[in-house]
Amino acid sequence: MNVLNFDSKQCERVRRQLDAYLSNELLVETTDEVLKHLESCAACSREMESRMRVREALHHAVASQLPPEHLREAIHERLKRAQPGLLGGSRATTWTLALAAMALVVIAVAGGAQWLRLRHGRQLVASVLTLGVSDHVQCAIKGHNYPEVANPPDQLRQKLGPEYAALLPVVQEKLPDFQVLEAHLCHVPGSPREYVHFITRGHGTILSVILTKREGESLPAGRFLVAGAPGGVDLYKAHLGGMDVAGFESTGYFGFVVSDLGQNQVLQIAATLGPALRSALDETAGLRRCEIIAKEIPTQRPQRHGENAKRLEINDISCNLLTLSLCLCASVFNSFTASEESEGRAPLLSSTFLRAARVSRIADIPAYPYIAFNDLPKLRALQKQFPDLYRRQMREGAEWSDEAGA
Amino acid sequence: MFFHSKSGLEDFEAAAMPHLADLHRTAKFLARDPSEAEDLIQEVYLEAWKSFHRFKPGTNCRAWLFKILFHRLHHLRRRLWKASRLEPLEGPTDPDNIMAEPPVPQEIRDDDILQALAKVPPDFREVVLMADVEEFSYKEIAETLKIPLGTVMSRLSRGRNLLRQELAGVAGLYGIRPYDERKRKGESA
Repeated sequence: MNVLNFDSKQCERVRRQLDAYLSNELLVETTDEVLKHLESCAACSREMESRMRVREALHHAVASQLPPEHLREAIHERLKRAQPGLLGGSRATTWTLALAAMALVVIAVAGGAQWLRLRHGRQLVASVLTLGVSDHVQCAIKGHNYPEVANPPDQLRQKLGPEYAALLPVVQEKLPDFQVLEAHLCHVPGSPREYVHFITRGHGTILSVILTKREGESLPAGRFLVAGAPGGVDLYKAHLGGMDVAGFESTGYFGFVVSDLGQNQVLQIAATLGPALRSALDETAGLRRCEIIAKEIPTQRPQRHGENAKRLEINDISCNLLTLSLCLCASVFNSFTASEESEGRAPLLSSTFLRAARVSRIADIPAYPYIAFNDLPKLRALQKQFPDLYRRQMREGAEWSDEAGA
Repeated sequence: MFFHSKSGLEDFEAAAMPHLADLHRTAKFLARDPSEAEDLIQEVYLEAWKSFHRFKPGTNCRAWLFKILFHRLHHLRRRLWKASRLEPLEGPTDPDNIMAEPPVPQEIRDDDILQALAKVPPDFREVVLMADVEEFSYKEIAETLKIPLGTVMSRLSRGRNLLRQELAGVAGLYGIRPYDERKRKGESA
């Protein structure tokens, strides 16, 4: 290796610039300076020439290396075969994927919400249908409240009372294979709840037809429906506590057909019975409404207030009855489903209770604007001392001070 | 649209295939053997095709392809040659070393210079190839190799010097006299 010694600082500086000069990376002024020095310095000029020769030789040698012929074709074939895939598409693809991902999230959220609604709906249906099952089990099966020989129709009509007597022939007509052994208004032990109960026998088993007031509550529609019977009656079915139950809604009532005959047969009976009972109940309700309206005319007078209070008391009882029935329904439902769905029971109970409170108007007292609250301390004292009376007074709008003192 | 259309492939090939020779020769002198270079080039084109939607028409397709090539090359090098990877070397700072320029043969044969090139460490070789063969600017080299501009300059200077040293050694094996030496003798005669 030759080591050249330079006494010129100019040479040293120019040689530092030679690489950049070769690559054409120098500023114009610096290039001019380098060129001037190269013209005057033979050693630097030779060095520059050497570097350029090496560079050109390298360029020539490398550039003459051509790719093999098959490489171009191989690349073409691989490109044709290659599927860029989901992430290798165009910008449109990227956006499409982003939108698809967002759609998936939305669908998942909506699906989750729908699932919760379905779950809640199923629980609601089950809780209402449980009501019928518990009535059947308590009264007909465990209580055995029916004779071996059917009671005469007159006796049954008497037991049903004028409000529901008209339903007896409907049940008898629509259940030709069943004998109506017993029909009565049934009370749940330890509860003020009341329901209409037809106990029939046929196909070697006992079948109950139960009607209970629903006070504006209704079962969820949509996919919970099993079928829509002729006459616009929606049907629901379930197998609870070893019993098959089919439910339907009528004007103001929930109807249940309960037995151990099998779900399809029970459903078929409910489909036949539902529309007929609904018509009969509508007719009865219509007559009752006429009767109430007729009675309401004299109740406008203050001296008839006592009768009015009595009639309204019935409504109050029915509201409370529904509250208690729904609470009972929830507790019975829990006992039936204890082995099935332990989670989610608490929301059912709380929502059921709230609904019951709303229906019974306990939590909605200010909805009666005609009551004047002009003595709040006394009102509160009354509420604390006589809660039941307080509620009744609030609903009736009577002069509470007299009765409170009584 | 989940897949490229046929016209998309044609567009890609029209833009990318003219640079095949440039990419291949660079890969050939940086890969371990010709077959590895060919595989590398196929992978580069495949990757470029997959990300062709990100390529902005009108920009430098050649520089983009080289960037992919060096990305893959460095990945491969890191993976396979980790143990023997060279530490980055700084450019000559000693003034005495600057003047230590090796002699250059009068006649430089292609084989000789290619042989000499193969002996230059890869970190320097790639900068020399990019600057002296592919004629990229310092800035482009820095972006492609993802190294600072100063490192490009120092590696180029050192790489060229190493190439000359290796060339002198290779030429000496065949009895070729260094050009500078012969010229000096001719002048004195």
